[in-house]
Amino acid sequence: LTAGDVKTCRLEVSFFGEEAAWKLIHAYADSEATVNSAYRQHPEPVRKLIGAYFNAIESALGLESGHLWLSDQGKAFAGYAPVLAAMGSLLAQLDNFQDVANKLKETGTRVAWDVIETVLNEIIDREKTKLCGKLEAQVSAPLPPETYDREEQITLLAQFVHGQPLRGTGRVKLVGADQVKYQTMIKALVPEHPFVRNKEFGNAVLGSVVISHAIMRNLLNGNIGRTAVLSRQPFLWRTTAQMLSKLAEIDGRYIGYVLNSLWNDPIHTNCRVEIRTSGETAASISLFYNKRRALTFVSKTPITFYGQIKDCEVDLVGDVSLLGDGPPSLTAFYARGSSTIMCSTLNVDAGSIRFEGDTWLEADRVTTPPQFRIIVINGVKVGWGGNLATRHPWNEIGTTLPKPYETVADDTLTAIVVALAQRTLPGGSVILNDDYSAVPNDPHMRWATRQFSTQLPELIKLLVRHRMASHTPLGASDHGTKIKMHFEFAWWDLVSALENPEAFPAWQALIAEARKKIRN
Amino acid sequence: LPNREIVRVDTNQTSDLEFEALLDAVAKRTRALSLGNKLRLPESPNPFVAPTLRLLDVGSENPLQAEVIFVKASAAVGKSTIANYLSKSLGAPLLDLSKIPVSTGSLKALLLDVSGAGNPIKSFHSGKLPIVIDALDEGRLLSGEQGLESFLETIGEFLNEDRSTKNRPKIIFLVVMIQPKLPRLGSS
Repeated sequence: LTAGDVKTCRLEVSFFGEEAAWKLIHAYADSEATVNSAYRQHPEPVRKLIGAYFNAIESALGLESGHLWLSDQGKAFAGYAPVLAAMGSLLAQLDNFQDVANKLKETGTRVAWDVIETVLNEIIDREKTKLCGKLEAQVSAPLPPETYDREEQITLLAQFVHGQPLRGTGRVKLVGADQVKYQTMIKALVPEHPFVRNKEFGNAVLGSVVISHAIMRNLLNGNIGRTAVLSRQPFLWRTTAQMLSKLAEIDGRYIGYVLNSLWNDPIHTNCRVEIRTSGETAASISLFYNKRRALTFVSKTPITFYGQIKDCEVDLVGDVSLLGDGPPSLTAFYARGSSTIMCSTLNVDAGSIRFEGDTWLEADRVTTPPQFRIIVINGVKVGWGGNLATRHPWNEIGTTLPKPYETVADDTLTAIVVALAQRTLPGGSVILNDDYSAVPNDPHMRWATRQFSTQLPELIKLLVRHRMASHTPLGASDHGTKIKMHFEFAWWDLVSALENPEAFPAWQALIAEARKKIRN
Repeated sequence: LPNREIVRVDTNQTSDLEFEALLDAVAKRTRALSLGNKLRLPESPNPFVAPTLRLLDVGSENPLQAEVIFVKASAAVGKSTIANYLSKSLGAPLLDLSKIPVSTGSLKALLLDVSGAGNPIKSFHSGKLPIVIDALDEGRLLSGEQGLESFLETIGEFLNEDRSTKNRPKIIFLVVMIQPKLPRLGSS
């Protein structure tokens, strides 16, 4: 486009500033509030609630008072148009502005997204009160507390937009005739719920709340159309992240949608994702910001990535699928940032992969659709290992990236401990040879054989000597006797101790000794 | 890896710009156009609150007197809302690349379908028939790598066919902003 003397200009859409943010909230509230709504009747409490909402975000982000709109992070969160639009839509529904404002002040949330959830919960509580008020007069026994509660409502909304029968969670136990009345009321109220409009989600924020709930409770039944659309926006990540630290695990079929949403979130630019085998059919997924671990959660394997992978390292004994985004005949998958995938089988379900960042792919087996195309952007380095190195069309493009496991870690001791933390569930064990070396050809220990063949036995020996690890025999193998190692501590605690030894005085001797024995 | 670097936009090298400044820089059409079946004039989004824009080419003189303007935004910031608003306010036809596949010479062909603007090719070259092109990023998915590349390449050639007007916006692209690269974190 810039050939010849064609002049171009680049502009960037900024997040909304304070004045425009207020204007946007009111614009959406005005467009949705009825003539007699509380929003129109009580402007002062509305103003106070909006103020409390922004103050709560400011506090949750850890910003000094009055700095919300001066900080890039503050503006990126508080000045995000879809969130402001959702807030405006919700204001049009509320009637207890002072209560919500007080709740925002009292809760003192640590996570900015919780501020939005507080407002959403008010709507949910209001809907519950509405239904229970009507139903109580019609039923023979007191209503159980689960009746149309948050869990029930969001489950019903997920079922409603996906065209499934409105069965709810099954937790609301009512006698026969009362159950029928409850069901009848649900059928009347769910289509009118403030989160939905014309059988669809009112907006991306409300939709993400419902879909993330559906993902975590496995309610989607493979119906991923809406999930795919929402994954192109950041809110699916923001809502799911709240639950990831609390719930057991996420189905690997959906993890790619959640991560796609993370990678589309402008406030998560410094994030690196590492995915490692952790148990027979599980993977641990850790997020690092500036090399510091912020969150680890567990996913079932196999794992599907959707649309893109970005600044992500995958080392998995299990299958990985790369599912392209776009119309059926032209699906594309993007590899961005700096990424590595090493797995058992790599299934490519995309018409093309476009490598926009340095990427290493390695798998024992690889499948690709017919007429699959690889596009490597100028200057980007790629590398293929395992079956890919000899398979068409991969082998038409020469490897220009060194093997990731040949790169030397900055801090070998920390690298081994982090690797073990990622791969060992709490209370989990590791199978080794009786000399504490990794069992050759054990795919779960491939990382150790490749990178830390001498350092791992040194570390385990030290842990045994310091009575932090013990073992039980497992029987003979081709390479000697195998043992099962048990650990008396949490590996992530040891990672923390390496980062901050003063906070773990009991481990200082071990760490000092380990630093001497295990050098780069 | 030593060859990696974090790419950042230096905020000192940017400056804010009122949305109206963009509207003022582009020619407005008041007469009705017949657009064929691929270009369209959308309804104005309602409600609409104008965002603030950040000018990324601060050094250049009269930056908005450019033939091609790229408007970048993070995911879900409201690019399509902005595209629709620009198109409606300016009376400029909108080409939505997430819905309309394109390839070699598509822009010229689409302009030839436009009536009500005199000679549409001349009007385009003089900046009197600006085009808003939305979803450049999604266009790659719909039209394919080759389709989109050749579409852009032929737009470049098309712009160079007539150099009589060089200081008026002729095309406004809206495109999603990809986040910066990160350095590799060692081999843990």
